[in-house]
Amino acid sequence: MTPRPDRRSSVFIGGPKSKPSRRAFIRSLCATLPVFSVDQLLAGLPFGVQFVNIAREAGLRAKTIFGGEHKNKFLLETTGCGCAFFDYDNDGWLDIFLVNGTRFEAAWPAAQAPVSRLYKNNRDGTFTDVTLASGVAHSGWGQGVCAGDYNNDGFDDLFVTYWGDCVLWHNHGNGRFTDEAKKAGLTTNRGEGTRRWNTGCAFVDYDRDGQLDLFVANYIDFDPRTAPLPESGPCLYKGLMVACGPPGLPGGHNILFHNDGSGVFADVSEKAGILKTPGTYSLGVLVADFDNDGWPDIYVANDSTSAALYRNNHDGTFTDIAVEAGVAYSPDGKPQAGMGVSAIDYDCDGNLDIVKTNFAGDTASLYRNLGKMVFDDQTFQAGLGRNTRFLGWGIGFADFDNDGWADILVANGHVYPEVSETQAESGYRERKVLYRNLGNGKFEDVSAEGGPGIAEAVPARGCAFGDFDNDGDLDVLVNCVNDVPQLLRCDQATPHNWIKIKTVGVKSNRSGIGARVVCTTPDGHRQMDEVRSGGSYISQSDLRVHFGLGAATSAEIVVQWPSGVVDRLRVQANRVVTVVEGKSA
Amino acid sequence: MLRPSLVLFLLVIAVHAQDLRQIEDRAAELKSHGDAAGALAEWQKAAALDPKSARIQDEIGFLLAVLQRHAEAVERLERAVNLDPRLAVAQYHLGVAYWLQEDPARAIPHLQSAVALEPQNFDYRFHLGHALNETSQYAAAVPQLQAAAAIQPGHAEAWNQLGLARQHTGETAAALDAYRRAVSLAPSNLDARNNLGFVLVNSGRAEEGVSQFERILQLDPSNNMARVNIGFAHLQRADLKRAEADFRQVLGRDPNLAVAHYDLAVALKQQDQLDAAKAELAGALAIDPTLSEAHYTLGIIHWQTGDFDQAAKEMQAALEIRPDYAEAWFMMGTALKQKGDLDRAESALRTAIRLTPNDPGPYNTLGQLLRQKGDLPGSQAAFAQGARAKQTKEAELGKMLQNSK
Repeated sequence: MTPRPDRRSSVFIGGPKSKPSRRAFIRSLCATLPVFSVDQLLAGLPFGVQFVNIAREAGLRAKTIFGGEHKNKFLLETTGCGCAFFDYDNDGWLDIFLVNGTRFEAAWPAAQAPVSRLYKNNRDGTFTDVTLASGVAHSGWGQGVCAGDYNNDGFDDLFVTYWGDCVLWHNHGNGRFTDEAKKAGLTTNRGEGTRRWNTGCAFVDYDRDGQLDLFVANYIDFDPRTAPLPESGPCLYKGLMVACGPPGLPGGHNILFHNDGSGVFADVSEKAGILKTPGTYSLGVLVADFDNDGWPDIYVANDSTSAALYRNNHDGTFTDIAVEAGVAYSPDGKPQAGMGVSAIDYDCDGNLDIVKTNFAGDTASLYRNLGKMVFDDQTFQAGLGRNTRFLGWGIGFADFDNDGWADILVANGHVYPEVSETQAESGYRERKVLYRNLGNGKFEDVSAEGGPGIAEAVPARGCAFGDFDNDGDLDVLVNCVNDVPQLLRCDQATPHNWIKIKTVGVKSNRSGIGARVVCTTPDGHRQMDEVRSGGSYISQSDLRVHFGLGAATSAEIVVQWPSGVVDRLRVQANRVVTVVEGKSA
Repeated sequence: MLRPSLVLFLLVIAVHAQDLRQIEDRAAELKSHGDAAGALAEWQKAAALDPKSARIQDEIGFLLAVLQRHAEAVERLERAVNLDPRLAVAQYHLGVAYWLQEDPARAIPHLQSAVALEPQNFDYRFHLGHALNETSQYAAAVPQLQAAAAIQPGHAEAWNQLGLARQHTGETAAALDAYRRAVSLAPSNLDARNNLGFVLVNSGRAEEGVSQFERILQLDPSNNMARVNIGFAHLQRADLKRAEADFRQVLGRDPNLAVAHYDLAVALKQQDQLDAAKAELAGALAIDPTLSEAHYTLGIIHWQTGDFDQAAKEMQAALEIRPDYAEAWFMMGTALKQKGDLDRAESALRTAIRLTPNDPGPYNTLGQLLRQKGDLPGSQAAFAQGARAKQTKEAELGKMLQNSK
């Protein structure tokens, strides 16, 4: 837990400088005594962050069911579910939504089928299961989740993807939700037999009209009656017979829905140019303004093929420029098995960078944004090349130690339960990997210091980031396959400060999704992030934007709204600041 | 009536023929008693009497080969073949002589001639197939070895060689069948058993493969190669700890086995123990500096840790040993690109493309490089070629999955 400095103290921009942190001291030392490299010295500092899994104590006890526990016939059974941190009742405390799945050989009565769960935050570190009361009990092959106030009524809604029909949970603001997908025109099914395998999603106001549109990724159009079985081929992984694909299966197409403002969406994928990207096996969806032109672009992690980067052309259309931009492949030009994605300006140069999880035997990918839609793969230079034995899913840039530099957490777990039969690789259940940002473009693997929540091996899939206990540090929610979830409380012992910005759109969409928030501390350190729907591995993180401030006790905040409105304010550290569009100019 | 001069000539011929027959009989007798030197001396006398006899030159060449005077043997056998290209045995012997000089490529045309002249000769077929295997011409080896095995179905080594050819042409089931026959005919043929185990491991039947290697160890407890292969089987299954233990056990017995150091390095690398892997690769190269894979893997580790300069140097070292090592060209191009040495990187990538035109990776990396150089049309063309190569690969895979349903 973060020790809270006296909130009454105030240091304004231009006022007395804060005491420099040890990290800043080392940097200044290296500038004058270049005997040591900065990363040599920084790497020796204690991280000061521990994660503890408190899911059980917090009341998150329902197991996520997803496919066969020990053997899978189809790839559909392997990819697991996402999860969400979002504040459905606007009480300032993050609630939890955990997507649930099912299995082909299910033998339970309909009333006992596994359902996605909504947990209300009790504001004391525990949660109450409100699934039935809220009306969100829904069974099926649940996949991903994303949040956004699509009807601008002041309450964030949820879109949950499925193999087959998806669900739009309209939040009525009274603790009740109803599925409005069909009424809203959000039909994604392909009809009889073959059903669309929807995966990641994100609300995005791509035309900046103040209404949240919706992007839905597609893995494949899947029909178990015609899909190859493990013994076809046979499909082998390390000598084990496993579910086939995706290579060799026909890829699907992503969908972009336009919101007309009356609660009705229209499929504009073709008109918008989304269908020009060939069959994709899409999973994680990441929305960000990568070229700083004020228009949201969409990056999609694709399994076993090149990733897609849909550049917003400002006219309702997109162009996939991933290959030219340098974010489609590994540095040696190979397609990777992309799963989860996250963006932040990790090197604080004013451009949003990308990190993506991939398959075992590969590394996570770190794409540094050089500006103007040109990226450089910095995976190896940055120190992310040493871990290849894990199979990554959920991922997030998050400043866990609040030092002003975004760290990285990766949730891992093997895709094939069959590997449990052997001592292969890192097993089916895998630990997480935690990287600390050294502030010089490099990351240090600090997993060993990250506490039991990092070390515990689980079959992780989706993970979300957010400060559920509002103590100023970022916690992690992890959905696991055929297991209970994890709620990793971040307990940090650094003296660092923080600030959290909650956006309320007026002209822009009410959630403020797409708003860019720039945070500058008195020492000139400038960070930047955006309010983002979707991300990680088919999950939803806290819509509030969090910045670590290091030793700074105040910051200047600039919010650039999708509408073009800009709000500027000076804020004191260690609090949640609500910025209403146009009210702080 | 015959003229006196002609009578004298015929008399000389008759005496000559009689002498020659006697010499040949003596030579054959000496040869049958294993006296190669004695037999050679007799055949040389015979050659003096009949210098244009291909058969005699062939006998001399054969005996010289037996006496390991390979250069002289080749000279005599070439003479025999020149004298009578239709003498199958001479063609065969010359082929084998070249092979003994470790030049199987030169051996093959003569073995082919021998087979053409006597298609039902087991030895000719078998050795031709074997030589084709030795020169990686596996598809061509298959019919020769099939024919050899049909002529002598009880010849274990013929089945072993046929298994090898089938294995390399991707006919896994047929390779397994051939190896199984070889092993059942000659249970102590450890080479065949080793090959059988190897194919079983590579076709996902690791346990069965390991049991073959264990059988080898029962027959020959000091057989380090079988132990290395057990480790390899565990490596294939990503059972990395067991693989590591196997390789360490081998190295405990024979620290100078370069391949065990190399495989241990691979097991360590897959566990992300990069520094330990580097040490093992250095050990492997100290024992066998020609192990190009060790340089390649060392280069990959340097690449993973962001040391692109050293990565490129290791790839260069691998290429000095194996100039046609396509993956090393590709990775050298990648490392040089990341190092910023774009011209050398481009050249390396184009070489990789020339060597493996169906691999999309080098095209895509070249596309990235050309984009960095500002050559946008060139970059787009490279990406398009990469996409085509990828589509072709995936279409083949899709067809395979659909066909096998």
